[in-house]
Amino acid sequence: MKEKNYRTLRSALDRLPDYTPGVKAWDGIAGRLDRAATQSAAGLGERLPTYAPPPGVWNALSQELDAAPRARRLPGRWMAAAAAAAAVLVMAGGIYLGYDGGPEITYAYGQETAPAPVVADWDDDEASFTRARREVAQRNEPHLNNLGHELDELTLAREEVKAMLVAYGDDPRVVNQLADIERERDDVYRRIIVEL
Amino acid sequence: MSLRLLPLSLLLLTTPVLVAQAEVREVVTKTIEDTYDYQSGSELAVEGEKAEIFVETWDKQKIRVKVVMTARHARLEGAKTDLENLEFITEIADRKIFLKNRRRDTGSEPESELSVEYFITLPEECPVYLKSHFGGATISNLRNRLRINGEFSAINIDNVEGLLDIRTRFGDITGEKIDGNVVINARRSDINLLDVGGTFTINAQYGELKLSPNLNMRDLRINADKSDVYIYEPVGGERLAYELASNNGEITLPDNRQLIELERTSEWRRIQIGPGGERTGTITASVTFGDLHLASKR
Repeated sequence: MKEKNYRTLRSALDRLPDYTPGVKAWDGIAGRLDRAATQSAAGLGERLPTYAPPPGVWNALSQELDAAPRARRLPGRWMAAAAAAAAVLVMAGGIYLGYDGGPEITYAYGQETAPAPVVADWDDDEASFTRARREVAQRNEPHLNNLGHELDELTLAREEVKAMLVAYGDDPRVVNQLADIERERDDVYRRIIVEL
Repeated sequence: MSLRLLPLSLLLLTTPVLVAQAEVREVVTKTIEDTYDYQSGSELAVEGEKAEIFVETWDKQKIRVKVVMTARHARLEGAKTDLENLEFITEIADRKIFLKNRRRDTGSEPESELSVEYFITLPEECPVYLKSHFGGATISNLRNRLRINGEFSAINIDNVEGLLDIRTRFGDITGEKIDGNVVINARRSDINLLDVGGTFTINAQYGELKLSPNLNMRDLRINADKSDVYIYEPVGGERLAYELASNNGEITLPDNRQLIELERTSEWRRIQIGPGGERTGTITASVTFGDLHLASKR
């Protein structure tokens, strides 16, 4: 039940005087409690009625007792094996959950129609390019030098493309890139020749 | 059919078969597939050599990589041997995933035609860095940061937003629906961009540039050398302002366009075209040894 005048009651209780019990008071109480406990326990035990359990209870208890010793008699190595198996399962589970499976690699084999082989000698006109470049260097004129730099850049690119054809084979797309660069080189070469 | 024609008929029937057999070659393909968890802060870097790199996006927080390495040779054993010289390398450091292909023995000269393809699928917010030496790169639907360093590689970009930094040499760039902060440095490469907006800075030498900005273009700066530049105005783009300059080239403009001549000599011309109303964006182009064309939307 809720106290309606809690504050009033509280203040009244707080105003009550405090008394400290005598030193022997606690010892006396403790002695009486000990005696009461021993006397009442003996009396209670004597007063309790006695009941005989039904036979089914003893039969079930007997079966449990028969089974329990066998379980306790498991050989040590079986216990170790069970523990090891459990550990392996736990580890496998952990690996399965945390591992992404790694890369999957597959091979496939097939055939296709081969393209026509590339027949081109990309170095046919190199002597002409070399002569023109040498001439440009000798003339040493600004406009010609700019054309010479253009030719150098394209020649370097040409070598890169040729190296790729060697490294990865005659891919038609790369061959086309080489042809484009050769056309640009030809254009620069013609402009050089006109200037010379 | 007379007996005299029989040998001829047999010859005609067998000849194409023989020719076809001679033209067949063996194709051996090695496919490697793997999937990586994507976390915030992850980044994918791919270094492809003679590789076609395809990058797409999906909704999963995973990065899926499929690498297909192929050898083509007249003999099966030759294709197998050359294929084994191709190596695919994966390295994961912190949250960076690094993929690369190379030849194990760079001194060997294969008889096969070798090629590599990457098929990559990742979250759209995953930053991507591609380095491509020969081959190509095709990227679509990314939304964060894309960096490409290409040589002799065609670059295709479709529907990409964010920060783009593209450097290319001897590799053309084709792009559509690009929006963001974009920097392109191209040498000996053509650039073809359609429906692009945001902030673009393009430096190009020895190429042809065809650019179609959309109404979201805020700032387009073009600096081209020995290149022809075509700028196609968007429909309703009258409020774009232009400042165009040409050195040793021609500037062509749409008819009846009011312009202000800022400088004009026999070699140098600089003009300004004001916006027809409140300015929505600025296009600045400077072309040296090339022509500059401003035209209506293509």
